Amino acid sequence: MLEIRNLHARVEGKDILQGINLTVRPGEIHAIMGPNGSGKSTLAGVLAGREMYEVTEGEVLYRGKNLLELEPAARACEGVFLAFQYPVEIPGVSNTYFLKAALNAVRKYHGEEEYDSFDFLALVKEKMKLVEMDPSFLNRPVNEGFSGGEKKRNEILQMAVLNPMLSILDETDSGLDIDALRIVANGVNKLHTSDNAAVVVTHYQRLLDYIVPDFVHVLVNGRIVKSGDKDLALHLEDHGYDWVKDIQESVPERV
Amino acid sequence: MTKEQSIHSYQEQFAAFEKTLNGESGSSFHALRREALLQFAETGFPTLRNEDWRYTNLNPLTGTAFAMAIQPAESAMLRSQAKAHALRIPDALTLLFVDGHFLPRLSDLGSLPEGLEVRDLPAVLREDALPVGSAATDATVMRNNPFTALNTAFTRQGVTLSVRRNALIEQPLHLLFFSTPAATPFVAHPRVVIDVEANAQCSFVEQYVGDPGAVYFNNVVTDVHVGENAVVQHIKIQDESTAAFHVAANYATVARSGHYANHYIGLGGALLRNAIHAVLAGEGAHCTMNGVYIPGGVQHMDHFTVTDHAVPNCTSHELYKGILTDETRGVFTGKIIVRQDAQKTDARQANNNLLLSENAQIDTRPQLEIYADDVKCTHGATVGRINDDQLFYLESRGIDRAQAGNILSYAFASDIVTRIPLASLREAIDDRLYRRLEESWKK
Repeated sequence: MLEIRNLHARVEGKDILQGINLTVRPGEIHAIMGPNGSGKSTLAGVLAGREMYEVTEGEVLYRGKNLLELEPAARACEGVFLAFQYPVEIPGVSNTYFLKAALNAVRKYHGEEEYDSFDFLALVKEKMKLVEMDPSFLNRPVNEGFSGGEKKRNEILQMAVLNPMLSILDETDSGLDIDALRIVANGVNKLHTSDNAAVVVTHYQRLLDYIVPDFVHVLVNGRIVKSGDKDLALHLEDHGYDWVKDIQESVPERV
Repeated sequence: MTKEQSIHSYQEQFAAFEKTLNGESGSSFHALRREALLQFAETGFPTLRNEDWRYTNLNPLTGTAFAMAIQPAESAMLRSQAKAHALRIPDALTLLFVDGHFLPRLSDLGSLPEGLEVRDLPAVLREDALPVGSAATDATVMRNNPFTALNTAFTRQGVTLSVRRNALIEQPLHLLFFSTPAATPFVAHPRVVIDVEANAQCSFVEQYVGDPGAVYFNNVVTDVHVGENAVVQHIKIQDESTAAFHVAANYATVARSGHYANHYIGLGGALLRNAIHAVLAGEGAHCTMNGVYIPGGVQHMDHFTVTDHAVPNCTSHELYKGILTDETRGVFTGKIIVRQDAQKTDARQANNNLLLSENAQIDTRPQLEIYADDVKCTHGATVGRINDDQLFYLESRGIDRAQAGNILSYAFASDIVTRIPLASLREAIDDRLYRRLEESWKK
């Protein structure tokens, strides 16, 4: 589904990603872990198409297409979803309006009929149960005045409504108490099928108790220095990131 | 045409206009017209040296020769033509004006609610019954506002609206001004005089529409008197042809405990000047001014508002928002005057702008003249761009950049619409606003 080859990217002239290689197949959940500043969020941002990141080398194939050539909206319509670390507040735009505009944009892209308000409301209310959200959130402006947990639940609600093929969850666990974490993780798990895939970016192992990954990759200084199964995450929890940093230093610089 | 030539052509027009008045030329109102013309000729058109007109160059207006608008024939077709351009406000009564002329037979005069009187201005003037000495005909006002003097010199077309004491008029009155496409540019000087007596409540929707590309000049004066404890919602939708000139002066006087709310939606006109002069003349009076302007292409829109706190314990709230695209130019001046007696004044003002293009320009200036010492006055102006994080957030959900920009600018502008207390009108305006923004983001 996703193939990242030798991906290099920079932000504001600073090289952040320095040769990422990663293959994600349908049905898989990958966790990307790493210390602060290792490039985890940059990777998520590059995949979603954030303008501030400049790709300097490498390629990303998504379902056979060159992902990097697509506009951010087209990526979303093709089934790539980014759950934001810091969901954005949009005053003046109601959650319903936003969700409906997004869903209909995706449907239009695929030549499908747009939802009317009635059908849309029925759909979204069903999806809200998944993240235990009260319907009153629909009339509130997008993320405005939401608590940290409500914002993250709103991200998963959007994911549920848009039903993506590839979900990238950027530090979805940051700032969540254990109840919110459980609700968010539960939502992600219920949405997971053998046809779709998820890349879970996190600093802490805790989230992976709830969303169990098939693969764990350790990102240090813009490179994946170690890959393994879920036990690798537990090992990181016990031993910290210092030991993988040492591995990284032993890897020779590319010329 | 130079400014002097332009003034001269109006003087010639006046001489011709005078001849059509017959017996009326002996009336006291006509004496006022003559004074007004003299005043206009003496002051001339404002230049950039005039502080109140610093950011608006009138050369395109003074350089255009305008013939006087001709009275159109009242035909049902004309009404449907005008209606095609107008907002659909389900429950409103329409008063139709074409090229500045009120057309009673094409207006909904048969079903006016109790307590509301509408009179054709020529009939009022024939009886010499227009009260002279209102805000718009005050000598000082005319000296300071040459376009008001010019309008007064040519005042003949328009209406007077009176709302009787204690009347609660629920149906909004839709004053629809339609300008027809003409072979040569024309000028109209419509005047609307609104008198709302004590304890009455009513809503007026003043809308200007024109055929796209039509060149004409609407020099409008509205004169509103809000009686004691009366509530007036005055909504103006300026949706003129983008080749038209529109200069409006709106005078409002608010008596004790009265509330005057002016909601302005500005979309049309090549060159637009919308002035509001509100005087809070009785204690406890309140004035609301909300407005949004969305010029496109090379449109120039100048908003000049004055809130005059003349007596103690009055409040005023003003919020103007602008979205500027392409090579447009916007001007906002918010003058708040607090007279020496006007203690306990509470005046708030804000002007927020969204610049969507490198070549768009906004000049915004609050002007506070405070002569009392126990007052609360706040003001603020912002100029910003669309927030990139918000834009990307919408894009990341499949909404393309144009639609995302449209959604965000609509959210910015619709804040003004939500403050209009008539639901049917909000919907109609929302729809118009959305389409207008869609046009600017499609480019």
